Amino acid sequence: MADVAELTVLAEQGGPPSARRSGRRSPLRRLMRQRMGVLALTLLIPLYLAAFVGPLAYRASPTKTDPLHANAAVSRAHPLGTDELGRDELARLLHGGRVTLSVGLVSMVVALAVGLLVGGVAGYYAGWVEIALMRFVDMFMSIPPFFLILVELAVFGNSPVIVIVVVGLSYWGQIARVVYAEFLRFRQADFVEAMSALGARGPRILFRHILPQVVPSAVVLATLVIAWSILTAAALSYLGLGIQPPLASWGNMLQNAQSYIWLDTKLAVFPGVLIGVSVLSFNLLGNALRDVLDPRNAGQ
Amino acid sequence: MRTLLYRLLAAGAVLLALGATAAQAQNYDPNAVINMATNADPTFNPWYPGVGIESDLINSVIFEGLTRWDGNALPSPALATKWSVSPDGLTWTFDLRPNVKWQDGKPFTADDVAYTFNDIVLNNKLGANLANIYTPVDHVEVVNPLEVKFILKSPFSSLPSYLAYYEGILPKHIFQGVANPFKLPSFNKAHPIGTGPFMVQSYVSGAYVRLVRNPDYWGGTPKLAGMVFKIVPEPDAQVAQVLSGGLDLIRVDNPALLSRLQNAPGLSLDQQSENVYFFVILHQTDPRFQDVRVRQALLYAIDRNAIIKSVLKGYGEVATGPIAPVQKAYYDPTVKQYPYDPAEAKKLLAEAGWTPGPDGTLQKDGKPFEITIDEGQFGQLVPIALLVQQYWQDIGVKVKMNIMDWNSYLTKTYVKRDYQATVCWWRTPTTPDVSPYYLSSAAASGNNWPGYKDPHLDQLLETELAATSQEAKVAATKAVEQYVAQQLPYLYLYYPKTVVVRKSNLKGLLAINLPAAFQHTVDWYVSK
Amino acid sequence: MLPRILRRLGQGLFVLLLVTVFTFVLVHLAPGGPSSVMRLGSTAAERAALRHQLGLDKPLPVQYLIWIGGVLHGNFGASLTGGEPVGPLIAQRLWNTVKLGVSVFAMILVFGTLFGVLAALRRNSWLDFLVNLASTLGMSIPDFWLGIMSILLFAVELHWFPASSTIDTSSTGVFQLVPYLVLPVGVLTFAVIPNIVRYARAAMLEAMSADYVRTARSKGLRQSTIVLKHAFKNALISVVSMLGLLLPVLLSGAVITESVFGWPGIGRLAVEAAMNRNYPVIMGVTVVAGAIVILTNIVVDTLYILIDPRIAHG
Repeated sequence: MADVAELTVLAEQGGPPSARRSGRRSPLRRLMRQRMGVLALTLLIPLYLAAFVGPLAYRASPTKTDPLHANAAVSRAHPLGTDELGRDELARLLHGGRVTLSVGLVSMVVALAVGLLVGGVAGYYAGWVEIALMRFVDMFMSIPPFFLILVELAVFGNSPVIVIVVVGLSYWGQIARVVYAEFLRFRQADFVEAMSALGARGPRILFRHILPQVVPSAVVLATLVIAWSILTAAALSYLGLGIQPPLASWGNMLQNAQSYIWLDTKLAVFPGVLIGVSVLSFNLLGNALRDVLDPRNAGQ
Repeated sequence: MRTLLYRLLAAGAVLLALGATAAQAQNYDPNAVINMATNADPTFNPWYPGVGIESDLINSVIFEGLTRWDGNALPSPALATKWSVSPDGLTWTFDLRPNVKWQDGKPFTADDVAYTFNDIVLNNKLGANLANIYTPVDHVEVVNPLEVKFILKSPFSSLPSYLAYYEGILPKHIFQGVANPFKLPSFNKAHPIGTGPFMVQSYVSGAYVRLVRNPDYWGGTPKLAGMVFKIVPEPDAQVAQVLSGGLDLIRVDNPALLSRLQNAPGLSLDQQSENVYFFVILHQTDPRFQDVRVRQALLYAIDRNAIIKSVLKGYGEVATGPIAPVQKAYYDPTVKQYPYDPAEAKKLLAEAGWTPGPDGTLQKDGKPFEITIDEGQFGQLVPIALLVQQYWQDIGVKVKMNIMDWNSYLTKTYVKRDYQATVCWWRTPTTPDVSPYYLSSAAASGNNWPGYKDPHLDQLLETELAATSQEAKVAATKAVEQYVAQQLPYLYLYYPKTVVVRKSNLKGLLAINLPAAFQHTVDWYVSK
Repeated sequence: MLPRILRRLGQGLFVLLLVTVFTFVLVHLAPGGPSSVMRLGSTAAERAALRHQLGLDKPLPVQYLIWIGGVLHGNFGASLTGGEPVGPLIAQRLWNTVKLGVSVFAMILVFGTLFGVLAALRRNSWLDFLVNLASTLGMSIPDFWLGIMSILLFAVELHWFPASSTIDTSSTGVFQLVPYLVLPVGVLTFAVIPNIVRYARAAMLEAMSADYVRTARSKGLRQSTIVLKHAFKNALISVVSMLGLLLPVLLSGAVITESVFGWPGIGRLAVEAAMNRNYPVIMGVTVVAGAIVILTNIVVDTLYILIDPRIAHG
C-alpha cells in the first residue's frame, strides 16, 4: 500500500515532492502564506478566547428557557436576541463555541494519537505486523465514513465524549497512512543503516531522527483534521446526531435554526458564519504551517 | 332551401348553447394531476407491519375499508352500506355494497372481507399493523356474498369507528395461496389492487408514486385524472416545494414554517384537528409517581399556554383529556382543569411529603426529587421537553434530559419501558374508545404506556365498550373523561392544530381533517 | 503486472469480507431494532411475531451465514421496511448517485485543472491568491449550510431551479435532468474542488520545473509551446490519478448533499437505513461502497505504477 500512501501524502501536502523544491516558493509567496497564517491566528485566538473565557465574563444562561420571549430581537437584556425557546443567543453561541471548538481539538488529538501509534508501529516494525496493521487501516477506510459514524453513534450512544471519539476515529486512518509513508521513506534512506552501524539503538533512531521528520507532516495534517472534525460534527448535527441538546454546539444550533429560517434568520446566520470562520482559519493555519515546518522548504 | 338553412342554424344554435352549458357545468379541469408529498418510501398494504404516515394517506386512496369518516369524523358507509349490533353486543352484522369491482376488474365480495380479517389481521403469527385493535374480534363469518358478521369475544362498541382507520380490505384472489402476504413485493411495493378511486401506475423508490384515476370506481369517476406523491423527507423541503409550485398540498406540523406561507399568493391555509393529544407520562412503576397529588402538581407546574404560544406559535389548544374536541358528540369541557399554578404545585407536593431542601431542591426522607426525561428527536418533542424541564426545575425538581435518536428512543422508552418521564403523543382513530391506552391489562406489554393500573378505570372503560345505545355511550365516555382528568394517568399537554397548505385552485376536500378528506378523493378537483 | 493486480484483488476481497463481518456485528450491537418492528402502538406479541417472521430471532452467526449465503447467490435479501429486494434497490439508488457523481467529477476535472493550472502559470499573482482563497473558502463552509442557503436563494426566492430532486431520475432524459442537477452538483463541486485545484497547481508547477522543460526553455522554445505540449499533459496525468482517490470523498460528501436536496441516491439510502436499523440494506450498501473503495484503490495504485515505475520497486 506504499503507493497509495504516497499519493495521499502528496495530496495532503499539496503536490509532488519536487514541487516543493527550491524556486517554487519565492519569497513573495512565502510572505503571502505567512500573512494567511497571521490572519488565521488573528481569527482563531479571539474565537478561542471568546469561547473559553467568554462564558465566565458573560453570565447569561444558555439553557434557561423563556417561552414567552422567544425569537426576540436584539435588546439590552439579550445582546443578540433569543432563540425559539427564549434562550439567550449570545450565551448559546459562546457556550456552543466552547463545545464545537473543543470537539475539533480533542477529535484531532484522538485521531493523531491512534494514527501515530498505528502508522508508526507499522512503519517501524516491518514484516507481518506492518501488513496486518495496514490491512486493518484499509478495512477501516473501506467502510463509508458517514455510515460508520452513524452506526458507531447508534451503538455507543451520543454523549459528547462518544461523539468526539467517533469523529476523531474517522480521521486516524489518513494520519496512519501519512505517518506510515514517512516511515517507509525513511526506512529506505541510507542513514538509518549508517546509524545502526554506528551503534544507535532502535528507540534512539526513532525519537531523535525519524519522529522529527514525521512531525511536520503530522502537524500540518493535524490542523486540517481539526477543520474536518468541526465540519463533520456539524454535518452530524444536521442529521440529528452529534452533540445533543440541551448542550449547545454551533452544529446543533444550525440544525435547530433550519425550521426558523424564515421566521428568525439570525439563528441560522450566526452559527453558520462562526463554523465557516473557524474552519477557514484552521485551513489557513495548516497552509501556513506547511510552509514553515516542512524541512524541504527550509532555506528557500 | 331557406328552411333547411334556418333549421341548420337553429340546430347549430341549440348545440352551441348546450355546449356552453356543459362547459360551464364542468368548471374543473378533468385532466388535472396534483402533486403531494410523503416523507419516505411507502408500502402499499395498510396491514404491513410498521406502515405509518408515509403510507397511510396513499393507501387511503388505493384501498377502502368497510366504513370511512364523514365530514363530522363519524363512521359512514364505504364498502359496507349499513351495520347493526346484536343485543348482547357480541355480533356485528355488516351489509356490503353491491357492484364494487377491484381495480383489476374482479368483483368485491364478502370473501375478501373474511380473508382480510381472518387470514391477515387476526393471524397472530403475522404481526399485522394495528392488529391489536381487533383483540375483541374472534373471527369474521361470511353470511352471503354481500353480508358479513363480526363475531366478538367481548363487546366492542367502537368497531365501526375503528374500521374507518386505515383498514383497507385486501383482495383474496391475489393473496390466497401466498404463504406470507407481507412477502409479496409485486403487490406491496409495485402494483397493489384495491377498490379505491385511484390506482398505482408507477413507483420509483426514493422518488415518487404516480396514481391514476380508477374509471370503474363505484362512487363515480374521480374528477382528478391522477395524483403524484413525491418522496420528500424534510418538512422544510416540502415547504420550499409548495412555495415554488412543485407541490399542490402539504400538511405542515411545524408552525415555525408557516410564517413564510401565510401571505404567499395562490395558496390557502386550512387549520384542522384530528384526534391527537400530546402528553407527559410518568412511569407508574416508580412509587413517587403513584401519588395522584404528585401527578397533579407536575401538571399544575407546566404553563401549557406558553408552550402553545411559543413552540406551536399558537397552533394548538390545552388538552383536558384523551378525547379531542373534534369528537364533538363526546368531548366534555367540564372536567377538572389545571391552569398554570406553580404555587398550587408546590402545595400539593408538600402535602405528598416533598419539601424544599437547603439548596431549594425538593426532597423527601432525605432524598432529592430528581427526574430524568428521555426524549427522541422528532417534530417538536425536544423543545417541548426542554420547556417541561424548565418548568419543573422552577418548582424545585431536578430534571436531567436524555435526548436520543427516534429509533433508540422508541426502543428504550416504549419497547423496554425503561424510563421515568417522557413527552410524546397518541394519534388514535376518531373514536371515544380509549381502552387500549388505559386498561390495566394493557400496562406492561400493551399500549398503556405509563403502566397505570386502576380497577375503577377499567370498570368505566368496560362499561363504555359494552354500551349499546348512543346515549349510553356518551354518558359512559364522559364518566371516563371526568375520572382521568382527576387521576391523570397521562399529564395532558395539548391538542395540536395541523395546517394544511394547498393551492387555492385545489378544491372539494372535506374540511374536517386530512385523513377524512383522503377517504373522499373522488370529489377533489382543480378549478379552471 | 497482472499477478500484482490479482494479488491485490485477492487481498481486497479478504478486506471486504472483514468489512462485512465488522459491520454486521456493529450494526446488531446497536440498541433499537428495525423501525418496522419498533413502532409506536405495537404490542409485545406483535413485535415477537414480526421478529420471528423477519428471522431476527435467530442467533447472530446464523443470521450472518444466511446473509452471506444469499449474497454469494446474488440475493441481498429483502428490505425490512417494505420487503422489496435489496439488490435492485441499491442498484437503482447507486445509479442515481453515479449520475450526480459523474457530473461533479466532470466539473472538478475541468474547472479544478483549469484553475489549478492557471494559478500555477500566474503564480504569486493576484489570481493565484484569489484561487487559493476561494478554494480554502470552499473547504471551510459547511456543505449542508451552503445547500440550504442555495435552495432558499435560487429555488424559493428566485425560482431559477427546482427546490428538490424528487423526480424519476431513471426515466428522465439527460437534458430534462439538468435543472434538477444544477444546485446539488454546484454545492458538492464547491465543497470538493479545492483539493484538486491545489493538486493541479502543484503538479503543474512540478511539470514546469522538470529538467527537460528547463532544457527546452534554455534552447529558446517559447513558453506557451512547452506548457501546452509537455507540462500540461504530465500535470493532467497526475491529477487524474489523484481523482481516483477522490471517489470515497465524493461518496460521503454525497450523503449530505443528497439529504439536503432530496436526491434519491445511495448516500441518502445509507443514512435512512442506518437510522431505521434496516439491516439487509445496511449490509448491502456496505458491500457495495466497500467494493467501490477497494477497487478504486487498486485502480489508482496500478495507474500510479504505470506513471512512475520507480514506485513499484520503492
